[in-house]
Amino acid sequence: MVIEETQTTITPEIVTVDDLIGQPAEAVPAASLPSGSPNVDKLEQWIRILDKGLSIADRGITILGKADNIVRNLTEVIMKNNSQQQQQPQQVLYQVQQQPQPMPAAVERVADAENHQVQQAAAEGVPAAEADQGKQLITAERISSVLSMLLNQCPTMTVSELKELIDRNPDTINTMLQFIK
Amino acid sequence: MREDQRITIVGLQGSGKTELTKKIVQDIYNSTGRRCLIVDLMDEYDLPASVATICRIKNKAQPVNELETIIQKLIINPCHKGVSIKKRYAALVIDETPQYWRSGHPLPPCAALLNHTMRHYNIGLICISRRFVQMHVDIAELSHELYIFRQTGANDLKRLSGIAAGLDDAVRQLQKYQYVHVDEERNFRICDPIPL
Repeated sequence: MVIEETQTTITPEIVTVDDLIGQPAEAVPAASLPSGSPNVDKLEQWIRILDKGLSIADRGITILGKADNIVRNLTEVIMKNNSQQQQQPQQVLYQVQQQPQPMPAAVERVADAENHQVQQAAAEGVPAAEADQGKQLITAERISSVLSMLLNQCPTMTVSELKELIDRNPDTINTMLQFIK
Repeated sequence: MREDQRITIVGLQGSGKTELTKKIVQDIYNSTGRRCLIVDLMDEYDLPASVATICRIKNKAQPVNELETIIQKLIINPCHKGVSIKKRYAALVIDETPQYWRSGHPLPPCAALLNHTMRHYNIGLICISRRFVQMHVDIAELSHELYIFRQTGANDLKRLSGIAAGLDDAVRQLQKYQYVHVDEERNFRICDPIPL
């Protein structure tokens, strides 16, 4: 139904938002970017799962590293004992130093990544010790990878939503930047 | 003013934007008999109720939500005593538009809906800003008519030159209270100050 306006008054008709909703303006639902946007919630849930996966993988790699150390020590001790029995200590020790046992795949991958970072840092003029401390060199490539992953999960996400997501989950995003290639 | 017509008014402080807007609102009423809805951030407007409804913003620091409510309650889904009131206003006038709709940011939901479907609400849109470069690009570039008072910013002039060749030069040489009127075909002419 259409109601035509027939007002002819001279005084101004002034309204505020309180007249429209009968409540203070602060009670109006957020209009621009709701914090509980379904996109953001869904993505956050996915990121939490990913974060758990990453931390489990991280622990796994640490355990593998420890296991590798134990195996190496044991091998060394056994070889030493053998060499003592054969009375050829110098030769065996030389053999152990020159031909270390192959590392498990996961450990090898981490070691490679670290070496690569150190090499990269050296190429850029950063001292090796410094590069070793800052393992997570944030490159444009890594940022692009992380953004691709986020956008795959939520193609309609806006830059504002992305910023909000990063603000709310800084640690997780840092972890993703470290691990995702 | 035809339905869904968009007008952009740009001018520095004290250049005459408000006076021009009042004249346009009065002309709309004279020609169509319909009133305008003015969103008044700085409490500058005092037009009679027969010509316009004036919405005063309470939270001037963060006015976005209030404008969203105004658009929702008075344009998109207007009701009076439980009865839908369509085609109530001829135009929505938003003074200091960049305070609500910032350039480079997506429009808020109700504003975006209105911007895309204005014709269905049979309402025009008049946006006012101090600087052309601060005007939301969706609003500025879709405008049927532009009224441009003197602008001095290099970026403003550069962006104006993209609207029509030579527009920046015309705006640069304006005297006080003079303005340039750009029509839908992007032809422009310099206009004399509005008589008070």
